[in-house]
Amino acid sequence: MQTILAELFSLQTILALVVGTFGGLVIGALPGLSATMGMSLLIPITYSMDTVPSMVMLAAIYCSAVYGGSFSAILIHTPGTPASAATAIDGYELTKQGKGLQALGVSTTASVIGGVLSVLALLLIAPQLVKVALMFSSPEYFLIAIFGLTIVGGLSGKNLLKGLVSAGFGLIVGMVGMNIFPYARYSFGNLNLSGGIQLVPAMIGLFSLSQVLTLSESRPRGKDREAHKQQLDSVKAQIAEVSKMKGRFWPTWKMLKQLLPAILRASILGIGVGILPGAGGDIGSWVGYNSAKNASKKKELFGKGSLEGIAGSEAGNNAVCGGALIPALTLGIPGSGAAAVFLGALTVQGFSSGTNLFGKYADMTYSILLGFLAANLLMGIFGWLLSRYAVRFAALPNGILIPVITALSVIGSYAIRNNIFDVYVMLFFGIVGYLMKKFDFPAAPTVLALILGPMAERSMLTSIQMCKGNILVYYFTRPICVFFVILILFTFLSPLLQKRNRTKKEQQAEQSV
Amino acid sequence: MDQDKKAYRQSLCVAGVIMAFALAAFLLSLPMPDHAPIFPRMASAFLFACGAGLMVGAVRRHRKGLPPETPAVDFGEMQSPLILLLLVVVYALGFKYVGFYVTTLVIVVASMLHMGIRSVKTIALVTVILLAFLFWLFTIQLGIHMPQGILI
Repeated sequence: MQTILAELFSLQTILALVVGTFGGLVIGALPGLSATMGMSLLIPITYSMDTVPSMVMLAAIYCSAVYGGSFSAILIHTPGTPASAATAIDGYELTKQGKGLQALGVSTTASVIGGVLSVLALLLIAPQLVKVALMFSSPEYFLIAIFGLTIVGGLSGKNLLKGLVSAGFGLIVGMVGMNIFPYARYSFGNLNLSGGIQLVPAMIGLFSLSQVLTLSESRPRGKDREAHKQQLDSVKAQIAEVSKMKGRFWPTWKMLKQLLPAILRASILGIGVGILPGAGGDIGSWVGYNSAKNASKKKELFGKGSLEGIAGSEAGNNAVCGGALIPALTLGIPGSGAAAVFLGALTVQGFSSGTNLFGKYADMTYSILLGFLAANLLMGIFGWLLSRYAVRFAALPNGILIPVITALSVIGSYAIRNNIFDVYVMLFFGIVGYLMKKFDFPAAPTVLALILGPMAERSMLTSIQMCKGNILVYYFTRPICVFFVILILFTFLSPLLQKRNRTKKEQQAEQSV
Repeated sequence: MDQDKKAYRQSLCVAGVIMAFALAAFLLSLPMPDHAPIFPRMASAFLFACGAGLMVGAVRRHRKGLPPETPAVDFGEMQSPLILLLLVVVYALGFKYVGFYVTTLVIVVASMLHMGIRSVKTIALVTVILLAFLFWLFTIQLGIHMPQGILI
């Protein structure tokens, strides 16, 4: 315990916590930037730091960016992150009614409670799950990796096949070089490629550069210039108006008691959504919002300024953060894109998920998790202090954001190994990520496949050596393997069955008309 | 309707590119020794099947007269990202030959101008603050030696 606290209260960790929480809030409040992007951009900076402060910094960015998105959602009706889209519905209505500060207070309270509960769930569930993972051997790990890829492919986009294509692409790219065999695959005789594709530049390209390219589409051209200027002026006027807001920030005890059931319900659902691989904060927030609406006695207020709606949505999206790290830290299957980046950063630091994290390196892991808990509390304090000002970041023009993110992407990719080749890798993945966005392919499964691919291949080869005969018989005589095979088949078949049912219902409806 | 046709053709092209990529990955795995080609072949066959699935899905939707799942991509929208991409390519190349700080200065100014920022004060302020921050963080704090450029 002493070691854990010493690590947690070291100057570097405290600084990382403060910088990460503040940075996350700013990233979250900026429409167009996400927690995943902010985290991938900061990995190169954390690379040279000690493990605990670096991971605490990333965890702080993760939770506070998800929370920060509510500022612009509530005050200027522009969700800072996709996870705060549900908050914008009722939040902005309350701002129009002059209750913006109250809405922010409820969003802060719900985010803190949701976040704290999710970290507590992480602290309680993860060590138990690791005990289960102790029963796993190579065949089980192979199927876990395949299950992770399948479910992430299926859940992270509207189309299962597109998610799977994204995962398949990541698998092939992950095999470049000599990562498992003393034979350089897909390297075309290039020495740099023989060393394999580095995860960090790939993540920076997929999440940061691709976002920069998407943001640059908003460049005003010709006649649009005047309209764009007017739009910017209107946002600035809104922000100036918001800065003059008056009233009470924190909810009263009576109000909190009324909101608590919605917050707790959404938090539990959010944790569950987080554990489910591939379903990120945006799904968590809608699930939380809908649960609050369904249970509310004042349903008519939803869409017109309901505090319960904000509480449900914000508790839901922040509860996803801790939940998403449960499968990531125990089984190596991240529950969201941001959790995949977190796992990638852990890999860069030289650690892999699983039993070691909660055994040999338990002190380090618990220091990180307690840091994550502290970040959830600190973001509430920062949110309270910055409530009138954080929204000003939303007025930062893309013309300033783009060069800043571009420079950080280039230097960050270079800084990991002082190798210019990594900048080219980042550039390649930036182009691929941008095209994927244009054609509606999710990027998270690619990153996950880059992480899980080598694990899947290693486990598969080991199990081939272990089986000494028919591999199918070997797999199907292991109960956990059978369980995972059923899960994989279910993941594949359920979207098809759902689609068939929907088509049948549509046909029946048409016939009845 | 034209937009639907355009989206249909684009989805066929995307599926074709995926299948071609998977096929290339499969063919490249043929000369690999021992156990090395097992996983690449499995992954490329899987990717090929997914690409084929996307193609079949697009054809079936089109035949049924249903709207495409993804709206058509307007390549006109990609003009600005392409220019920015060109700047990043110049950045990556200039990084090595002209040095990090000189290239950063040029690219930051160029991308701000490209994005429509005309205020000299804003451009100067952002450039100076960004360069100072990068120098402080990467060179002083993290001790990373940024390329000085081989031409200077």
